[in-house]
Amino acid sequence: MQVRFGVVLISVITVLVGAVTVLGLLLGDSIITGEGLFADVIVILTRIPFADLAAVFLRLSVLMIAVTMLAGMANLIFVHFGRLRQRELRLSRKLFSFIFVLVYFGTIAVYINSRTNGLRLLDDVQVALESAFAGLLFFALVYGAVRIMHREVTLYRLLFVLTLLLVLLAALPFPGLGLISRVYNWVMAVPVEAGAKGILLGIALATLLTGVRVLVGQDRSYGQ
Amino acid sequence: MSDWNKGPNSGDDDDLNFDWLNDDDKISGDSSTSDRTGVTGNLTWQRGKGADDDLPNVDDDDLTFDWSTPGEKGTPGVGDRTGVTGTLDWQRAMGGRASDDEPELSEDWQAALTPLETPPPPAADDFDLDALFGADAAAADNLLGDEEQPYAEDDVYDDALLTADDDDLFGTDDASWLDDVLDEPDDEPVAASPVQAVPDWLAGLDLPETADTNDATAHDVVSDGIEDWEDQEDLNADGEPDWLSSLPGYDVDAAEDAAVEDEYATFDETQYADASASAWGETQYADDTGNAWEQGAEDIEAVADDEFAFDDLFGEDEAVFAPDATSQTNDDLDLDALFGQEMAQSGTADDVDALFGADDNVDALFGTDDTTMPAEDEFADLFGDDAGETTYGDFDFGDDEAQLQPADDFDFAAVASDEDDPFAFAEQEEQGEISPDWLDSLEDVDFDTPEPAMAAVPYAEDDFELEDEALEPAIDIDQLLADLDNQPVTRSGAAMGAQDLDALFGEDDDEFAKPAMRAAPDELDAMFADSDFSPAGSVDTFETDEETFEIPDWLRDAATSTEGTLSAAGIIRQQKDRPLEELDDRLLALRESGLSISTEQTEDKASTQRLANVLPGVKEALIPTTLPMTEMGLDTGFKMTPEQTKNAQMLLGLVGLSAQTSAAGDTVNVSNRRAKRQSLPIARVGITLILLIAVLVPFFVPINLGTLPPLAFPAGSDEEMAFNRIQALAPEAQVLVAIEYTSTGAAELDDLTQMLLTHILQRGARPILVGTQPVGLLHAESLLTDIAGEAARNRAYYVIGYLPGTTLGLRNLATNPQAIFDQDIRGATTGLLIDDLDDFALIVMITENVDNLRNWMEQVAPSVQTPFVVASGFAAMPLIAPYTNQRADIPLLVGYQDAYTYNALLRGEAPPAVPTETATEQPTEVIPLATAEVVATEQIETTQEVVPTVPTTAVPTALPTITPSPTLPPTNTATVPPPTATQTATLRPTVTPSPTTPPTNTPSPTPTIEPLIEVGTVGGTATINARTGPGISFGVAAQLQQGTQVRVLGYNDQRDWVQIQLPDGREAWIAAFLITIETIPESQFPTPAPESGSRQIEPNTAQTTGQTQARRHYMGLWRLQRPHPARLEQQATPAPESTPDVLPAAATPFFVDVTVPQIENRENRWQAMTLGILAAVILITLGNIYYIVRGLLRR
Repeated sequence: MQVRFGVVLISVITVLVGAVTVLGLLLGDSIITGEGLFADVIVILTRIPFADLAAVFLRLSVLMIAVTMLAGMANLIFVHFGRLRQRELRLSRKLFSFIFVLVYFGTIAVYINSRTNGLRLLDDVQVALESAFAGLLFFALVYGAVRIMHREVTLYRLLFVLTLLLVLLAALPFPGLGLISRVYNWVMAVPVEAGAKGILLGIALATLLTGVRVLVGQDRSYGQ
Repeated sequence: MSDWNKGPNSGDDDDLNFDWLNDDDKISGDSSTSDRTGVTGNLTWQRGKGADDDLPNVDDDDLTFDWSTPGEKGTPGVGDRTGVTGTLDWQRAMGGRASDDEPELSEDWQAALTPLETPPPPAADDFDLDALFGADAAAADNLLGDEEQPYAEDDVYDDALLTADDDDLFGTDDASWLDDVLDEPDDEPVAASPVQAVPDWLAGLDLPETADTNDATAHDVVSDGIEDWEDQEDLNADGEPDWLSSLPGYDVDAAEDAAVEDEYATFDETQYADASASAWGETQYADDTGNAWEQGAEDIEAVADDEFAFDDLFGEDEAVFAPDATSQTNDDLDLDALFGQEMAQSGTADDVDALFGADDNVDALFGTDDTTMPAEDEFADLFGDDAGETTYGDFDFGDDEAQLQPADDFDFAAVASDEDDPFAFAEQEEQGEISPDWLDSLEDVDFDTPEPAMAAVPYAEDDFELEDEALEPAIDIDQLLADLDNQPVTRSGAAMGAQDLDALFGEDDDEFAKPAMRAAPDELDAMFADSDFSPAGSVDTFETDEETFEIPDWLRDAATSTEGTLSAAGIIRQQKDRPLEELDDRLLALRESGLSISTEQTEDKASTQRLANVLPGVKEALIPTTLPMTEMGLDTGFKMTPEQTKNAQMLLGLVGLSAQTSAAGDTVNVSNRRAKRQSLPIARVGITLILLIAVLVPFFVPINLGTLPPLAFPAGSDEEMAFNRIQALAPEAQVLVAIEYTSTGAAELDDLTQMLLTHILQRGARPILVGTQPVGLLHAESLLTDIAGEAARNRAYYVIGYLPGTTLGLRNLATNPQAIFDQDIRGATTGLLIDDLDDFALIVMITENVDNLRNWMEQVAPSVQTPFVVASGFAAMPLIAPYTNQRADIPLLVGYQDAYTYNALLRGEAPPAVPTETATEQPTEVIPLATAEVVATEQIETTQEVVPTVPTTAVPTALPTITPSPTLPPTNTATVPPPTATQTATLRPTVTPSPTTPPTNTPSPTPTIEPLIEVGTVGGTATINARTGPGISFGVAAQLQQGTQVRVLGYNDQRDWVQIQLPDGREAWIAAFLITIETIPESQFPTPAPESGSRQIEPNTAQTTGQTQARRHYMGLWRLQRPHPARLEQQATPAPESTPDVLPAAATPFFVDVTVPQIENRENRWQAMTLGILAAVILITLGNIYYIVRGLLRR
C-alpha cells in the first residue's frame, strides 16, 4: 500500500494541534496538585503549558483564516481576469466579468481615497441592494405558501399551512386575537422550542463527534 | 559492590567511580569536570605509589578516552590509535622513572618502545575496553567496528605481552595479582608466542623518535617504520610476515580476524583520504557482507555506507553492491523491510529489479520469487494459478529466469519472437521446454462442432476462465426475424434495399470471409489451425510471411487500398456484394424482410452527399432516411403496437398532452400547452402586485390599522430588563457590542442597533464594536459615526474590527482578548487596557440568525460573568429562545417592534408610569426572602432613591425606621419608572413603597414593628468555605468558623446554596446544609468584626469589581478555567469600586452629547408591515382553500 508521507504528516500535526488545543482549553491555567492514582500524570500534564499552546494555536488559526480570505479574494479576481482573456467566451460572460473587475477595483480605490465615501458606498449601494433582495424574498415566500396545496393535498401540508397562518396571525397587532396569541405562545414555547433544542443538540453532538473523530485519526481533517 | 565501583575515599579499596553514575560527573567532554575515561578514581595497584613518587598527575593513570573528547575523534595526529591518551604508571616509568614494582626495561626495549613523535590517530572505535581495564600497550581492542591493526590484548588479559622474555619488562606472566583487582579474571592467560629473530634488513632501520606518551608496541613501531614491506616478503594470512606477527604487541586474537583489514594501520592525513576513498566499497565489505549475506540476512554485520536516515526508516541496507553478487543490492529504499525479506538468490536483475533494486521486492507485491514455492500469488485468480510452476512471479520481465517456467498465463515468450528478446521464450519453446497451456488447450477445442456465436475458447486451467459450456444468446435472432414477418413495421423511410449486411462486410473471401460470416468456430479453427498463425510455433508472429501465412484477400485489399493501413473504412471501401447463393438461411430471411418493407424513400440529397463524403463510393449500403420530427415526437409514419400506443398515450397524459389519434389511426396531435402556461405568470404577478400595494399604501394613504407598538416595555419583561441594564451603565463603562448581522438583516435591525448604541452613548458608556460579519460591522461603524461623529472615534466609541474564523475568532476573543483590543479597524491604537472580557460592564449582541448567537453562547458566554443583552430579528427569535429562556438573565429584544418602543422610551414619549406595589422582576436564582411588615409612616418622594439597608450599597435614607421590603440585594432589578431623557444614571434600583402611603417628608419617630431578617449560623465541624458563587466550582471568598452568624440574603433556584453577607460586608455563597437558618429581628443580629469569624480570602474572580452586575445562572462546567494568574495578581489589592480598565488618568473623559431622533416613518412602516402580513395571510388562506377544494373535487 502506498502511503503518502505528506498526508500522514499532515494528519499527525492536525491531531496533535487539536489535542493540545483541547487540553489547553479544558485545563486552562489551573494547576492541579493531584492526588491518587493518576496524580503523577496529572501533575506532569499540568506542567505543560497547554493553555498557552492553545492560545497560540488559536491565534495562528485565526491568522490563517484571514489569509485564506485574502486568498479567496485574490482567486476570485484572477478567475474573472482569466475569463476576460478567454477568446472563446461569449461577450455577455465577458461583460459580467468586466463589470465585476471594474467594481472590485473601483470600490477599493474609493475606499482608499476616502473611507467615508467608501462606507457611504457600502450603505447606499450594497446594503440597499441586499435589503431589497431580502425584501423580494417576502414575495417569493408568499407565492410559495399560496401554492403549497397546488400539487396535492396532504395532511402535513395542511399542518404546515395552519402553522404558518398561526404565526402570521399572532404577529398582527389586532386586538381580539387573544386565543390565537395564547396558542401561538404555547406553540413557540413547547414544540418549536423543543425542536430548536433538538436541532441545537444535534449540531453540538455532530460537531463533537467530528472533532473526536479527527483527533483520533478516524476521519480526515478538512482539506485532504 | 565491587571495589572498583565504590565511592571515593574508601580506604584501601579501589575508589573507582563511574562518572556516568553521577549526573554531575557525566562525561560531557569537559575535562575540567571529570576525566574523560568515564571512570574516576584509582585502582589499588595504581594508588600504591606513595607520596614520594613525584610522578606527574599523582600516581594515577591519566588515561583519557579520546573519543570522549570532542573534536579529537578521528583527527589524525591527535591522540594515539588506541583511543586512549595518557600513560600508565609503568609507561611513565619508561621515561626513566622506574617504580618499585616495575622492573627496569632493557635498553633495547626502551628504544623499541619509544613513542612516536606524532602518534597515529586513534582507532575509530568508541568503546575502548582497554581504558576500562587498563590500556593496552598496543592499539586497543575495539568493541565494534574495524580493527585498526592487530591489536594487543589489554594489560589484564594480554599475556602475549607477558612473555618469558618480557618478564623483566612487564613482570611475570603470572596474572594472579589480578585477583586482587577483579573478582574473576575473564580470560585465561594466553601463552606467549616465541619471538622470532628480527631480519637483518630490519636491524638497520631507523626507528622514528618517540613521543612522550605512547603505548605503541614493538609490533606497531616496526610495522610503521617499514615502508612497503608488504612486497618484500611473503605475507601470512594476516597480511604481514610471520616474524612481524610474532613481535610483542601483536594480538594473537586479532589474528583470527585476519580478513579484516585495518585501514588505520598507517594513518596519516593523506592516507586517510585514500583509505576512505578506496577502502570504502572495497572487497572487505563486499566479502564480509557478501559472505554474511550468503549465510542469511541475519548474518549481515556491516552497515552500508549510505544514508542512514533511510536505514532507519526502511531498514538496514544491504551493504554489498556487486553486480555479480548473488546478494542484494543496497537500495536505500529497503523494501525488504517493508514487504518481507527477499529470498537470497534472485538471479539476474530483471526490469522490475531495475526499479526496485536487485532485490526483487516486486515479489512481495506479486508473489515471492522463490523458485521453489508454489506461485500462489496475488494474481493467481486473474492470470491463473501457477501452482507447481517455478516462476519468479507473474511479472517477470527480466532475464533472470534462468530456470523460468513460464507457466503463467501471460507468457510473453509466446508472443515475443525476436532472438534478442530478453524474454527468450521462443527459444525455450523451440527447445521444448515451454508449452503454453492455453495453446494446448486451444488445440483440444473442437471447432468443427457448430457453436453458438458465443463459443467459448477454453483457456488454461486457471481461475479466470470462461465457461466451457456455450453461452446461450440472449435473444433468438431467428425467432425475432420470424416475428418481424408477422408484425411488419411500417417505416416511412426506406429499408436497406437491395443491400444487405453482406454489403457491409465486403466481398467474401472464400478462404476467410466465408468462415467469418458463419459460425465462428470454423473460421477460427481455420485461423488458429494454421501453424504459421499459431504463436506456439512461430518465431516472428508479427511478420507477415506470405509463404507461410495466407492473408485473406479482403484484408489484403483493404490494406493495400488504404496504403497499408488496416481500417474499417478501408474495408468498407473494398466491399463487394456477396452472391445470394452464398448467404445462409438467416441472412436470406433478413434480406427478404428488408425488401418487404415499404420502399418509400425520401432521399435527402444533402444527407446522401454527406454520406458520400464520409464513405466515398458507398451509396447503397445505407439508404439515408429522414425521420421527420414533430413537436413532441416522431412522425406518425412509425407504426407501434397497440400496447406501445397505449403506453405512449398514457405518457402523453402524464406530461399534460392529449394524444388524439386521427382517423388514419396513426397520428398524434400535440396539445397546446400555451394556455396553461400563461395562467401561471398571471397568478404570480397578481400576488406580487397585491403584496406590493399592501406595503406601499400606508406610505401614501394614512391608515390606522391595528395598534401601534407600546411606548414602553411591559413591566418585568425581557425588554424592560434589557433597557434597565443599559440604563444602569456607569459613565465610562465599557460595553462590548457584537454586530452579528449582514446587509440582509439591516432593514430590520438597523433601527434597533441605532437605539442601543444611542442609549449606551447617552449613558456615557463606551461602546466597543466587534463582530464576525465584516459587512455588518462596517455598516454599524457608519451608524455609529452618524450618531457620535468622527471626532469621538477612539474616545467615546471604538470599532475594533472583524474577528475572522467565526467560532475560532470568538474563542480567541474569549481566550486572548488582550491582543484584540489594542487596535481598531483602521489600525489606530485604541488605548484600551482590556485583559479579560469581565472588564466589560455589559455585552450587547445584535444578531439575525441563531448560529451567531450560538457561537457567542458557546465560546464567549461560559467564560465571562458580564451580563448579556441580545437583540435579534423576528425570524431567528424561535431558535434563540432556548438560549434566552434557559438563562433567565439574558433579555431579548426582537425586531422592529422593540426598536419602535425603545425609540419611544429614549425620546421620553412614554406616559408617566404608575408606581407599582412590589418590585417585579424576572425570575433569578436569588429568591427574595419573606416580606417583612412595613409600616411606612413617612412619605417618600417618588423621585428619591430608596435603597435597601444593605451595607455594601446602602444609601443613608432620611427614614431610619423604614426598611423597604423585600430585602433585596443591590444587584437585583426592579421596576423602574420610565426614565426621561434627563434622568441621571442610577447604580441601584429603586424600590417604591406602597402606593397607598402618601409621600411626605416627615419622619416618624416611632416604628411599630421591627423587621425580621434571616440569619444563618455556620455549622459543621471545621472551617467552612464561603464561595463566590453557588457551586463548588467557584472560588473561595472566605472561610467561616463554626458558629459564625451571617446574614442570609437569598437562595438559588434549587435552594441548596444560600447567599450570605460576610462580616466584612461582601457577599458569598455557602452550602445550605452547612448553615442553620433562623429568623430573628434585625436588631438582634450582631455585627461581628470582620476578623472574628471569617478569614478573608483573596478574591480570585472578577466579581469584586464593584460594578453592578446581574446574577447569572452559573453553569459550573463552564468554570473550569480560572482567571489568568496575571489578573489574580491585579486583584490582590482591593479594587476600587469601578475597576474596569479605562483610559489613562491623564486622558480627559470624553462624552458625546447624543440626541435621539425618531425613527423615520416609524408609524408608516409599522402600518406597512401590518398590512403586508394581513395581505399575505389572506392570500395564503384563499389560495390554499382553492387548491384544497380543487383537490377534493378531483377525487
